[in-house]
Amino acid sequence: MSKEIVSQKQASAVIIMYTLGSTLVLGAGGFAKNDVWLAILISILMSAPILLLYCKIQMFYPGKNIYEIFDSVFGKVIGKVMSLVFIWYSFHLGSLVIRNFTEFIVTVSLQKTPQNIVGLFMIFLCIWAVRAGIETIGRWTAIMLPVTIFVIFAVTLLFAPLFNFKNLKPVLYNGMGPVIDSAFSVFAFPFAETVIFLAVLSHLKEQKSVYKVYFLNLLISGISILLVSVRTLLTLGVPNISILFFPTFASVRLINIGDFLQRIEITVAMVFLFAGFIKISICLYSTSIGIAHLFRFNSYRQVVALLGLAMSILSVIIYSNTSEMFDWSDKIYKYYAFIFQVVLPGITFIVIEARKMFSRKRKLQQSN
Amino acid sequence: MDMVIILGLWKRDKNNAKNKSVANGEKSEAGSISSTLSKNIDLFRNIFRDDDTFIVRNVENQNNKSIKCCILFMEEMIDTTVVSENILRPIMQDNNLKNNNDILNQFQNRVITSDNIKKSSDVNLLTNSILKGDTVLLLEDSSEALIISSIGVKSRAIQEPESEKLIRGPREGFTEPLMINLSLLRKRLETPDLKFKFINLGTKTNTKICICYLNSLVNRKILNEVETRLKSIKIDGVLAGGYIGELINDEPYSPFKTVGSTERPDVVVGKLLEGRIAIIVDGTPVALTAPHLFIEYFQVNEDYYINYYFSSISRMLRILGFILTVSVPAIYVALMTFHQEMIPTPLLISISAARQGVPFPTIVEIMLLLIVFEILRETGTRMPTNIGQALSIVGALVLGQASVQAKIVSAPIVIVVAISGITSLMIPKIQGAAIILRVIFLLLAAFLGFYGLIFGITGALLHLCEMRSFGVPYLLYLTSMNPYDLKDTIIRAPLWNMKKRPKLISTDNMVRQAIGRKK
Amino acid sequence: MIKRLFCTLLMLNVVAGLCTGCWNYREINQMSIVAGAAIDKISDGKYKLSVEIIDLKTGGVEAKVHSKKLECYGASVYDAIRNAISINANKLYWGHAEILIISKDVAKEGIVEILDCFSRDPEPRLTIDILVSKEETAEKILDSQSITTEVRTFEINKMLDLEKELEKSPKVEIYEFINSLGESGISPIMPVIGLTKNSGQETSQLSGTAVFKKDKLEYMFDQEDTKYYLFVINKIKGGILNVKGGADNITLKIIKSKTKLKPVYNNGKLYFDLNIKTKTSLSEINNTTKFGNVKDVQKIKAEAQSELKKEVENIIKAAQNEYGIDIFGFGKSVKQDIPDLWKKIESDWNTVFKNVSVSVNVDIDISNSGLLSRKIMMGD
Repeated sequence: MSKEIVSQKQASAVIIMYTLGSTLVLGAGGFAKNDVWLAILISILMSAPILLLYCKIQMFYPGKNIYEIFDSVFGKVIGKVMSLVFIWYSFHLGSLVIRNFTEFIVTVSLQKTPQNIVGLFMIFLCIWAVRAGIETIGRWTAIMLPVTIFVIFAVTLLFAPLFNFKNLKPVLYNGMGPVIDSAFSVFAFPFAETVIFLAVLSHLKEQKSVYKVYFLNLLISGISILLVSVRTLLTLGVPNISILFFPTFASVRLINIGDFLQRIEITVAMVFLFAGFIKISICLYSTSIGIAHLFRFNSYRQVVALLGLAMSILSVIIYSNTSEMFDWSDKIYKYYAFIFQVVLPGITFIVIEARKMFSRKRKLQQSN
Repeated sequence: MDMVIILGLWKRDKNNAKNKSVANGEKSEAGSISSTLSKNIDLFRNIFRDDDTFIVRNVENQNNKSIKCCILFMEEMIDTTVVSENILRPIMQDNNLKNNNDILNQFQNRVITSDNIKKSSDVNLLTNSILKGDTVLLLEDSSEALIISSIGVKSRAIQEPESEKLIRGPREGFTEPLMINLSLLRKRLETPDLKFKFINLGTKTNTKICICYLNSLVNRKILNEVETRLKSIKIDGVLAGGYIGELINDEPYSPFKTVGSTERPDVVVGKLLEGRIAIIVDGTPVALTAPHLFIEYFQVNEDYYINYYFSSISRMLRILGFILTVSVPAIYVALMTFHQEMIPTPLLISISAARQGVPFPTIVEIMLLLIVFEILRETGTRMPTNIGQALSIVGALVLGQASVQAKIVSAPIVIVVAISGITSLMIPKIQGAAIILRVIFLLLAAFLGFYGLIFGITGALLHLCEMRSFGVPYLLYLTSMNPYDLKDTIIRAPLWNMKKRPKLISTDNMVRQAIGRKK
Repeated sequence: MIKRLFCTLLMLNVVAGLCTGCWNYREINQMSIVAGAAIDKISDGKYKLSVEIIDLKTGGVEAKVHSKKLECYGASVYDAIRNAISINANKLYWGHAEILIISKDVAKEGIVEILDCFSRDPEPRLTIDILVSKEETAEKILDSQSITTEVRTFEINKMLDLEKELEKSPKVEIYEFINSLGESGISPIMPVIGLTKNSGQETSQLSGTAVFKKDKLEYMFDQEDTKYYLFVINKIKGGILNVKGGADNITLKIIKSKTKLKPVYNNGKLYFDLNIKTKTSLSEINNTTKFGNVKDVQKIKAEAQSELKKEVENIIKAAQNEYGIDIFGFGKSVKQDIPDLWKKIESDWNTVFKNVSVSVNVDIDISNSGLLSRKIMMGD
């Protein structure tokens, strides 16, 4: 089968959808209270250099995915270890996202439905999507992203009568500490999670557009996340946001335009789910091609179903309750993810640069 | 979705069995005719034994008695005036016939006044020609025979197709004979660029099938693909275009078709001009077009004949209709049984009041009514037109009003099913897929509420995204994220704006209008 | 053959899953739609929940909506809600509840568990209006006769919605209350509902504002004061302004009003600037009022301004001196505009609030006088 090719626009759509993914459900940077906008802006700035690093890594080895890059940078043995680490991250991230969504659905509306059933439905779709290939995922997203963005902006407009701009004040009441802290949270989740795309972007039609893909994503999803977080703050107010599990969803429940346009939270939930579907699919895809690469399978499609089911099983056993999930995603995740998002690509980049310098030096010596 | 896969697995066994039985279809004995007239006559008599419509007529020339010949034809297939006026009369009354080696050429070039004459000695070809309604002329001492065209089969006149009506635009529709259909195309495309290629399919029916395309526009890859797929068909009979459509489909298990069909020559010409390929089957008033994309379900030829604002609106309505027909019952069930908080309070109260005393759960109720609607629809299609009124009375009054008053179903359900039913009639070609999607969505909605419906929509869209029609993505244009590509999809852009042919379908020759007219 | 068997089993599995697995499936006619509820406490500390449910027995083709009252008891609010099943045979459905009335006795003991129950459960919405009942039990409000609809609580909801034309009662939704409860520098408030007589029968009437300290009811004030209170917190969208100067009796209709509260910290002294800017139109004048030229309009304006200023100052003074509870969010505005100062004074804001000075500036603009250009003439 010939290599699948994704256009720059479709790739951007997928990565934007991926970044919005579970962020819309869990909310971003709530820890910063009134200064959530500042935290998100700072995290966008923080993400820029690290995304540049990802782009550079991809550009050193155009057309290769991260597992092949690991192999050619570190050699066969260490490369495999690195691959294993990366596979673990995508696998774990995938099951975290499944858990986020099943938790969301079961908490807000289907209280009596077993969580694993909902998860099974989601993972079934994801397995299907991943087996169909990255082109299909790209096409799917190209249809659904405009819908998603439209719903986000349209719902924001409906919020307008509820806005209380005084909620933005006072600025920096508790100092920069919490703001930086939550900016770091937002950096780790969702912006730097795009590291998974190093396994996907080798399918780009033109490898050069990888910069465009990453930075367009930062811009569009950054703005969307900013918009959603700020509108939640403006409507619900800090005390409510601090106590609610799913503030974004709760804030949509307040909309009431002339007693007619109200109770529209399900449209928002729909958009959440679309984005989550893409995020899980990409994680599953990355895991599958990693495993296929590690064990030298002909096609990653053989292992997708197995890995998908494993992912959904992990999602069930990973936390014992909702509070644990939020504790993990608010407090521990950012440090845990730092290893995969910054350390791993960082080392790869340094080794690539060192090798380049070394070989250049050797060339110089030879020419001398 | 599982069901489809399972059914598919089941079917695959059957298909294999079928292929085997078809492969060893009979072959008639090949060979060529001899030069003895009586032997040849016996040969054909033997081939068509027990067929009383097979006529052997011996002919002699009035002036030159040494010339002996014989014409063979099928009584029901020929035009008797052609045979008597153009074949029999000239042979009998010609004054200058010389009995020499050249006599066959004399007949062909000078004597017989029919429009199409071929020489052949191949028994198979001669047999087929007789079957098709040609007349075969056998001559003493000649090892070749003449095939004289004399087809006289009556056919339906060219009428407006019943299934694709329009208000403004050409009203001609295809009819059964292939040649008439081809003439309808040729007269719209007066260019040598238009190619007709024939293939015969069906071991018993031997149906003539024509592949039409515009040579400079067609994508060679797709053309080759179409030809290979057609040639790989081994079936005993091709009775209608639908056979071919199903046999060359890309996605055998999908409810969506990857081969389009139309009864209108103007539509076919439109598709040909976009670089598509048309397949016309003899005996069917339907032309198949390939590749067929999802959006073509919603494109109607009239869209291009009327004002583009209006046609854009009607196209959006058709898309909305499709969305409604597949999702309205599911949305209703999800709202009523899972997400009651989403219904405005007064509506909730009135629906709740309407449901008091109804014995069935909502999902059973809606399923029952949907089945009843499909029964009504099917009855309406099959039934003679003059008892249609009885059906509508029974359907509307008895099933609708009386069942609500008897509290067997609640009134809102009737409305929901009616919306879903009427919108499904808006796009008749997609009906099959719509019914299946509707039921799947409904079950999912009864299972997980709106979340089930969302999973259903995701899956359906995924299926459409992974489909290809002859190598072209099924959702082409819709997924490109390039505004230019949306011009002929959910809206119909003005003609002066559509300067290029669709990508991927037509590859070499993209430009359609050199300079579009400025506003 | 084995394949076929496998397929059949799989199919059965799917069908079985679909048939048994409708966990959250519930029929609309098997639940009682709650329109609103009133919460009281009975002598042994148990909650008494009076729930108004929509009665659909009279339904049919012409659905006439009636309501029924359901009384249930429980150790906690949620317990009481569930106990309703034992007398009602249906589960209560709270997705459409609009009104929650809390009796003043319960409110005095603290309402945080009620708020908790209603915001923790996903079924009730965060936009339920909450009110305090002035009567001895909140249940009495549900018993009173309703005038426009058959459902008592729907009518209360409509009354609250239309308050923007009257502006004599605040409208507080549950999430707003939680917000001002959690915020520092502002005390939460709630509308009050009581009973009144209308053509001989008892009916309910919105009657002022209840002030809470933390989650406990502290005191209530009446409708007229509420209007001036709403002026201070910039919640006036309509309503009227009555001016009595001497023999004059003038009524102004408020078209638009905007209040700006600005904390000023100058030379170690904190005070507040309150600027009220109101656009009105003249809607009624009596015989003695002079009204004919620009000067008269100016005079009416001046009268109205001084009247409004006096009233607003009164309500602020009352809050400061009598109870010392910051219902206006003065503290919050300090926190928002001068956060550094707030950090210093937050701990003893209550004492600061009592003594802080507020300068009220009122600017009333009379933009038109309806269809009449002067008052009705009376010939001799």
